[in-house]
Amino acid sequence: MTTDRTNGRRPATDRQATDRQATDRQATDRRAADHPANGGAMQPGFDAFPPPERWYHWTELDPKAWPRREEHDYTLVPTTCFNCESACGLLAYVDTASGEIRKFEGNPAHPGSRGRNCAKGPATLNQAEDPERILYPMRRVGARGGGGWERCTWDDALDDLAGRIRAALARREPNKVMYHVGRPGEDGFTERVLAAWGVDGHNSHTNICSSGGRAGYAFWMGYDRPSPDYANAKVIFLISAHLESGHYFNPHAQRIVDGRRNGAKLIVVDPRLSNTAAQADEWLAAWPGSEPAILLSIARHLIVTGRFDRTFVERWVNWADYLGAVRPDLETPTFEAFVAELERLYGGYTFEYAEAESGVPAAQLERVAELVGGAGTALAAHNWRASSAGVIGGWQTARCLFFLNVLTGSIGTPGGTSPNGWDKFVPRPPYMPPHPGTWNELTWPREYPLAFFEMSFLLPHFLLEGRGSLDVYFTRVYNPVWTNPDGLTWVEALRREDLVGRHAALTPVWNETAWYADYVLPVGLGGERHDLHSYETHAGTWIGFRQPVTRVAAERAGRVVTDSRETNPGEVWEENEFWIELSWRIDPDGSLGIRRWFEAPDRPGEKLTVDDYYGWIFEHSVPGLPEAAAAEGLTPLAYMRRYGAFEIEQDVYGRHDEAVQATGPGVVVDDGAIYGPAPAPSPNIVPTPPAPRDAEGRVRHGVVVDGEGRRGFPTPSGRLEFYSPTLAAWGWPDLAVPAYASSQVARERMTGPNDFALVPTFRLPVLIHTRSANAKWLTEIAHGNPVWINPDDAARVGVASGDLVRVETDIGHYVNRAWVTDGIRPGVVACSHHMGRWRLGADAGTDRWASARVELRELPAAGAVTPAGEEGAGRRWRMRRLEGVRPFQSADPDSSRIWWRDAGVHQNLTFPVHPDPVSGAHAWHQRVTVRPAAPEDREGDIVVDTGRSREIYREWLALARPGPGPAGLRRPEWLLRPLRPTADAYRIAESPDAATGPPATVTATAATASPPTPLARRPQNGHRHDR
Amino acid sequence: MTTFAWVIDQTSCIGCHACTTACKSENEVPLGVNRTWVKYVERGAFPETRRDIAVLRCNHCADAPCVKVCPTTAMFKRADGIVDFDTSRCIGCKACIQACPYDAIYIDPEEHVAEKCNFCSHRVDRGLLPACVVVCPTESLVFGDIENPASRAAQILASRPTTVRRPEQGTRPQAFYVGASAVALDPLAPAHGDRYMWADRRTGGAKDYTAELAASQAGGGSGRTPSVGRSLVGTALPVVTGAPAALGAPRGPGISPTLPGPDPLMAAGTGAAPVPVDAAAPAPWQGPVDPDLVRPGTRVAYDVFHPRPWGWKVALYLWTKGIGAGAFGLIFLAAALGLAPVDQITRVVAATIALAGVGLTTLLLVADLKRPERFLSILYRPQRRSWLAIGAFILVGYSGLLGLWWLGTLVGVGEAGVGEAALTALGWPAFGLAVMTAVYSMFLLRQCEARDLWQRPVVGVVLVAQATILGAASVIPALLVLDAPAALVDVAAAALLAGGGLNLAALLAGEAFADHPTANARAAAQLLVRGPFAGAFWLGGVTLGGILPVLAGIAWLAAAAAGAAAAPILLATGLAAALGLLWYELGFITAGQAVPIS
Repeated sequence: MTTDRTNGRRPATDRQATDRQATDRQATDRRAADHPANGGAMQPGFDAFPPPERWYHWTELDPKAWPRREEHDYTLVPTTCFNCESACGLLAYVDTASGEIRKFEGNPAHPGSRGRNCAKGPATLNQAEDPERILYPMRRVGARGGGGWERCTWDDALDDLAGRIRAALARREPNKVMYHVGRPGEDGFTERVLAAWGVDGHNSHTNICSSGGRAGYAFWMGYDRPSPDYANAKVIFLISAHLESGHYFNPHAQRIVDGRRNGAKLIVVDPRLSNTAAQADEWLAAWPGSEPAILLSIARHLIVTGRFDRTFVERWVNWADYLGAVRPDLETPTFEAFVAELERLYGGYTFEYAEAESGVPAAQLERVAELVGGAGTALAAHNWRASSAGVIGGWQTARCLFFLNVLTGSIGTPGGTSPNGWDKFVPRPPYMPPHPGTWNELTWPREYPLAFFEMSFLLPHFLLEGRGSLDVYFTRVYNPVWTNPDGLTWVEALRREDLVGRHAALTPVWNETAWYADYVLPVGLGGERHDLHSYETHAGTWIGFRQPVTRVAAERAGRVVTDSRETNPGEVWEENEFWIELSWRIDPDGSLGIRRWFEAPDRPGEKLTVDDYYGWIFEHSVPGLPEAAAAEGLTPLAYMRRYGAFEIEQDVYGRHDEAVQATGPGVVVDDGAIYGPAPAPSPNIVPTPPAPRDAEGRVRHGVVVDGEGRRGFPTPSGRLEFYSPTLAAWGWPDLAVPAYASSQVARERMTGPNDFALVPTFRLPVLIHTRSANAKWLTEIAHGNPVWINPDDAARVGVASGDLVRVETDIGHYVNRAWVTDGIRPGVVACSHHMGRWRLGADAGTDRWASARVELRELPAAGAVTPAGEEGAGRRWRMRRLEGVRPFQSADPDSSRIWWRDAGVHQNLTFPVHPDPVSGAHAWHQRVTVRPAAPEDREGDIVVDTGRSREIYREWLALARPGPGPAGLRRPEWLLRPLRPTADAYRIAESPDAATGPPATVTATAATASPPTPLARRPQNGHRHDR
Repeated sequence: MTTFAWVIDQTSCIGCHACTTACKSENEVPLGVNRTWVKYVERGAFPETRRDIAVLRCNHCADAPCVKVCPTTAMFKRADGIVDFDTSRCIGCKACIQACPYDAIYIDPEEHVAEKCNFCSHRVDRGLLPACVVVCPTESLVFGDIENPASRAAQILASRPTTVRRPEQGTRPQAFYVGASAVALDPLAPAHGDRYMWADRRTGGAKDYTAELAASQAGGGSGRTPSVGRSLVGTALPVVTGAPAALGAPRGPGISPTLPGPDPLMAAGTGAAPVPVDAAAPAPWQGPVDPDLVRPGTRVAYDVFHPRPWGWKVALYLWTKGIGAGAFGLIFLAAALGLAPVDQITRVVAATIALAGVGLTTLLLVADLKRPERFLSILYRPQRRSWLAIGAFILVGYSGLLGLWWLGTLVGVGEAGVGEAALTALGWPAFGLAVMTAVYSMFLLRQCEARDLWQRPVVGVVLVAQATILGAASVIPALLVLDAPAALVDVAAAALLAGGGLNLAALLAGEAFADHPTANARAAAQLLVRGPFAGAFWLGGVTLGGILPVLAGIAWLAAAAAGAAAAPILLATGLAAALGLLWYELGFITAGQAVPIS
């Protein structure tokens, strides 16, 4: 078989500027030679997958009947996993006789996952067959959260929701409509819907996840994520656990191992021995939050020993901006002066200093620094979550890590680290609605002008303190009551019908949040829906196409299917069709101007179908795809239905160094930047900061580097911003360069003998947040989250492995078992966030495979608490486990074989909100007190005082430095933002929809800083959506 | 010539469990059982901690013990090296599970038959790689024909050092590990706690006593092993005192990124002299928190459950078999050798007891099968090397001859002179089969390669001794009730004495004080002799099944004149010895399966 469809690939190496690509690494996304999916042969005569030419009619032997040779006929339909964000390819085996899905294997045609999967891929089958899943729309009966439900029709829900949305739009209150998404698993479809409605109603989970790390990268380079080229690296530096979890775990793990097989050294920073750390050449068990000290000590070593890439730094770092702002005293701002400044700034970050901060021995740090220094331009580094999602100032962890990439010149190089935007392709859809002309202060409040994503986790606080209300609130495959910190404040807000008029939960399975919805609407799983996506798995670009596999199978058999509900289980619907239908019902006659965005491109007035939408995209927006399809005699859509993925480019490197013409019609050079006419729209609308324009409206094409035009980076300076004028101008001059901040779990805050820094964020290899609990094979492997504690600490606290401990946070406590292990730094405890699913109903609320039945009570207010009943005052809650996981009877005989009893403990309920004042990211780590459980404590007990959580919310809110910034802007226009509104909406004075937030006090911290680089007045039409 | 084999590269395996779920999906494996699984073992003191990973599954042994023991050819080896199975032939006797030293076989809870990894032979026969190989993100699972130099497996074997699991078992496993840690492959190296790092641990299997075993190996009783070479560096951070900096405020070694302006530290033009870092200078390392603190030893962080396949029914079967063999054997021998006069009624009663014992034995055997309705297939489709099959024929043959002998005795042929000779002629082969009935289990247990405790030849001696004691103990009540001649009672007493002595000697010399040849056997013997099953061994086996019958036998024979007055003592001794032996068998069967093998 062959999956090596070279006619789709466009090597990008010809675009590389070669003058500084001095590296001995051969640039390639190395295909492991012996895997048949990758064109090799592990065993002569054997294949890993059926050859694609036989996918429509494939016969396999029944393993249960074996050794009797009983054959079954399948049609093989590619789709995409809907568990984690990696979006790995799957191949569904649909039985042609029964129409049922027999299994999911990997899709060998997928360039990201290359035919291989983690444990969650095959387990997609469990989710599809889960007897606990929701098959029909449900409507609330009785009080919200009371647990009463009745089956309703999709029409009931659509008409009610559409009517409310239409009314809000008619009242000119577009921001009463909010869509709150967990992991989107798609690029752009839903944001396009919201733009078409004209609402600034996008809300995401990203500020409890990756946005801290994103901010750290974005202030450097405009793009908000790294794309490490692990396979070609000499040194791989992870502040993450990418061999078991993290963004693009399976695709990245493959390439990390490829790199290691080729000799790369693996460095992992983690206070906890993750499986990744366990495989590392160097495990740096740093105190959480001390990572910048480590990174800056390595930076210092590179600087003072002169082992940094002077040429790269001089060419690409905005050192002149730094000197101009910080050393205006210098007569001649030279690069040497900048190097001297680096030495001054970081000279104190000795290995000994870093050791004192982090606990990592200086000798090990020196060893690691030498490795980094020896990596040349092949340093692949990644910070995903870890302390960037853990501590205040955590975004500086990413910023300091990328500093090492900058110093080693390993940006955009083979084996180095690229901006994610180079390795991601988001094809332009048929037509793009305009930017919404409104600004939603419930998601983008004035206190957080630099918040990298929506302040989603503060939503219930905003609602409860009267900043606004919602008429229609969609949670979409998202479970904020469980996933977000301070979930009981969510419960308090969601129960209030005056604050949330209608709550529709779009979800394949019951969850804790859906319990507080008005409608629970079953949407499809990985094999039951259409989505299009692309992720930066390696130095190349691809698109993946998720499909409803039984629908495709039916169509292959000649059936005409016009609605995915015809072939999905029950009345499970795909979201694409749901949003199209809802949009038509909002605007049935087209008078609101919404309907036209949901009409077929070639049949005006007719409803857009998924075939219309994706067919147009594949035909018009994916370079090389029409040709590749034609070569097989297929339409582009048929090609994608057949293969499920398409590789657009390979070996993408050095984009910043691409030559740009500094002369030509309409082209001018001004202050080192090259401006010219707006280029033709790219078919790739990957999130990219809008290019600045000059006073004449010309668009910046690039920057002049050493006298030559180069493309540069999408930052205000066009270069990598060691010094961020944006941070300086928006109130944070003291954090404008890579720096180290004092966190809420800094060691000096551990004042009591039982005080610990709690790391509550780690993933397990087999689970993914609340999505995977209904996969029985995964839950069988992992179903508990004991508290990791070092033996020294356990002895001091007085607990042994398996004993109950009480973990006290600032707002309450939980009771869980101890896991005494040398796999964690003394002084630090850790607890995985995966477990602790609960349900209030005996057999409903959350899948019984993985949830404990609990009772949730409001207790009488404790002494210090504001009296209960007072508006927004908070309450005292206690959750007690009634029973753990038990076997149950269902259509699946396995449910009666459940042998585990643990469901874990839901720690997030006991965490107050910790919004980072710069990035807006929630700082997950907690200072906790760990004690042996009290006699009255029972495993799984959770006690929370939401009055205290209000207080802590206000304490952290006070740390913010509110906008508006320079020129009355709500937010720097160049920063990425999902669902970017119009330029007018960015300006407070000019925005009539400025919502109802409390008056913001503007501090004058930025008074002395230089003004920001002139920026676009009309930003590029690029929507943000990927997380 | 083709030999398919696994090569498992633990240097690149990331422990992601994809193989586990891909296998469950491909082969429709229910919850609770696994054809392949991932084991994590943690070792070392912080920060030198390691978590070693091993992917465990069927080794497709060149000399596969599961195939040898299978009574019905349900387990079979293909010409290409694959050890495959045919569930339609399986009777669910679980002998293959006992034979497999790698915990690779399980009973499917749906079909109640033995299953395991078979290299996805339904795929292999169609030229497709096994499902786990296809899914593995890091290509750490390699499948191939090691006889074919073009295969990746053969190339790795030729170029890199490999190890196998438990080579001492002599099975020639065909799963070769690259870079596997010894503690991950050696089931006895780590201890299992009450739970794993993210999962419950089920009890009742082979991993319940590992902490005790670790303690006994370490020579202490704490269950923990002292840390060796523990590094103090990195274990403790300097104590920090003083007020913490403001939340989120810049923190650094006396230098913060600076801007011209109000900050006095920042005066422009002051040059680049590094500022001293007194405030944040590293404090000296704390000493160890507690020098006497001992570390938990190497322990399992994640594993799956393996049950003990055989329970009380098998122990009871060994016991009833002893009665079945011994009751007839003792009476026949007494008569045939002329040791004592044996009347018809005594013969009939003894043969009846023996028949009941053998019948009960057969019932227990069948009852312990997961597919009892397929029992007869042992007879019509036997696998001739299986001692389970051979044993079935022995039991059937013995039952037949015993039945004839019983019938002959009943109809009175024994009263006529000629008939006596015929009965004796019939009785000798029956006696031979009785001995084989008692002893064949030794060979069956020897085929249980997973249980090293059961591999000792002394097991045969114990079985003979027990049959002798149980035979005597079961006929003594009848002899007393029937008022049998004193000489016959003396024979029974002598049997108690001889059986007890033999049992005592065998247990002490063969188990308690023997030098067991493998770690597994030593561990099992530790559990049996000095561990949780010591009661069964010392009270049941040694005291009640050894010392007591010896003393009672000596006392009886020494004081033969005591006659009927001492009869209750003899009766009670027989009963106590029989119960003691049952207790011992329970301990012996359980302890043998209470040592982890994976």
